[in-house]
Amino acid sequence: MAILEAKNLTVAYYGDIHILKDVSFCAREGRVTAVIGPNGAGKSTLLKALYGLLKPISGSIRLRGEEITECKVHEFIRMGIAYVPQLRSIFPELTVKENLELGTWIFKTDKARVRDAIEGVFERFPMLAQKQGDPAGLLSGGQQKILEIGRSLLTGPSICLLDEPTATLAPRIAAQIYATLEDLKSEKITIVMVDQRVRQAFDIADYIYVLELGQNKADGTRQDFVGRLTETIKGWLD
Amino acid sequence: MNRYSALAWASIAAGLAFLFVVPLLPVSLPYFFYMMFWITMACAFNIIYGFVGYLPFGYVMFYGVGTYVTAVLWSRFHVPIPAAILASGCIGTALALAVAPTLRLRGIYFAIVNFAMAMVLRILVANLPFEWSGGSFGITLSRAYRPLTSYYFMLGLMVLSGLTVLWVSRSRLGVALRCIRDDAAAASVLGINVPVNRLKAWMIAAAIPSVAGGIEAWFTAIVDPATSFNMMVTAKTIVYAMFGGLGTVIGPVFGAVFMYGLDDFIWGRFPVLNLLVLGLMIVFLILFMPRGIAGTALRKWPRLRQVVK
Repeated sequence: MAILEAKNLTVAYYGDIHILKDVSFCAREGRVTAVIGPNGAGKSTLLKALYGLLKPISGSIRLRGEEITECKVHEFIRMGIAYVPQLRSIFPELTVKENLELGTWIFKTDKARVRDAIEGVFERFPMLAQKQGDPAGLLSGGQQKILEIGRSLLTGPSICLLDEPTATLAPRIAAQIYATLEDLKSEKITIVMVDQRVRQAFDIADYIYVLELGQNKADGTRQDFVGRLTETIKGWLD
Repeated sequence: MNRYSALAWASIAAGLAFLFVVPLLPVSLPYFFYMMFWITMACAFNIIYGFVGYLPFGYVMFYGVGTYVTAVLWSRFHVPIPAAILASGCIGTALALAVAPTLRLRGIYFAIVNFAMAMVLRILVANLPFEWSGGSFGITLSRAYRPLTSYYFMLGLMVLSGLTVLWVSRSRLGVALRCIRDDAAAASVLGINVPVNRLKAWMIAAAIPSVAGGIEAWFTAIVDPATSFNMMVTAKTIVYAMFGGLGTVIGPVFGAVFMYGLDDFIWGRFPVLNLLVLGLMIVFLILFMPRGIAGTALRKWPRLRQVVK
């Protein structure tokens, strides 16, 4: 069942230079949807548009059938959608625990709920519990990404948008993040991920969208892509 | 409360007690009045620049509007001074609300637009009908002249602005503002309503100098466009707050006390070269202490965090 759907999205950063042109997209409930494509394809832009960080020139975005195109960014987390951007979004001068507390902003002053949510993240990522008193800026790149993912899960979202969660990370750390995504998948959390590591994204995804030059190039289930993934990637190198 | 906090609160209490008895002592009343004025301005400025990261280069406009509202209401409409000062705060806040769309701009663009607005306001006030604003001659409030009462009003406002900064710093609003300053996009992703929280800070930061302007007009008993919209008010506010340490509660207080004292000392010793000497000292201080007194102390002794912040 479609949970997050975009129809005919056209998005621009400046004027009439369209980064996405008439792109359509659908994330199914409890499934992992991967968006792949070469550099400049508009993958991150699609995620930003889905999360309201960029308002489309035309097209619509629906959550469980309800129009959310004009919703403000700060409302998305209250609607059960979490977003982990590609670039670092932690607050480096704050401690790990303070960063996590910020992730519970929408709980306001409900201290018991905040404590429970943070405990849940500490159970999932014991490293964060060990480093909870350290300034987040002192964590390694991989640890910071884990902190961002942990923070995004604090409010119990039903949908997670992850923009290149393993970019620039060492293979061992990347493997740990993919394992976490597998866990989230088993918990029936809907995941939409943009990834440059096509092979790993392919392994975890249930449905795949290929974007090229800001347009839908192909889409289908993982089975649909078996045997033609290499050919698809080769096309980007030509 | 640890011993650092206890020491800080004891020092603040002693300082306030001293300021309370200043009119009884053989010291310069204007000196301490203006010291409190600059502490108030630096604290208020800290809310919008230190906590949110917006540099209003035309910050003087709120002070200027405050001086004129009090002067016009008292001299033309016979409104009692305390009510006129209160109205200054309301109109200054309303002005902040009116120019709030400029908060969509960031960095130098916001600073330039804000600076331009202050210049426009100055010209506007100078060109109002003479019967209203007194043109470039301004308005005198000699019949309302009560230096002692206005001194205590400024003391009250200084305490109020200090408590406001303390409240902002320790509240959810302060957390939201610091997040917005560091990364507005990340803050909104976490569910923080960036425009609303930013607007709250902007309105608080505007209300305080507007009231301060009204009290200062009462203290000096004269207002004119050149003084009320003098860009040095903005410049000194920025320098004093920055020197103390922006984004901290205590920093701008230290900065204003020290820099105003230094400014006054240099002005007394070098009447011709005072701005040059002061400028050199500012360059020196910014080069060697870019985070200000409080910021540098915080870096060296992180345990001071709960006292300074």
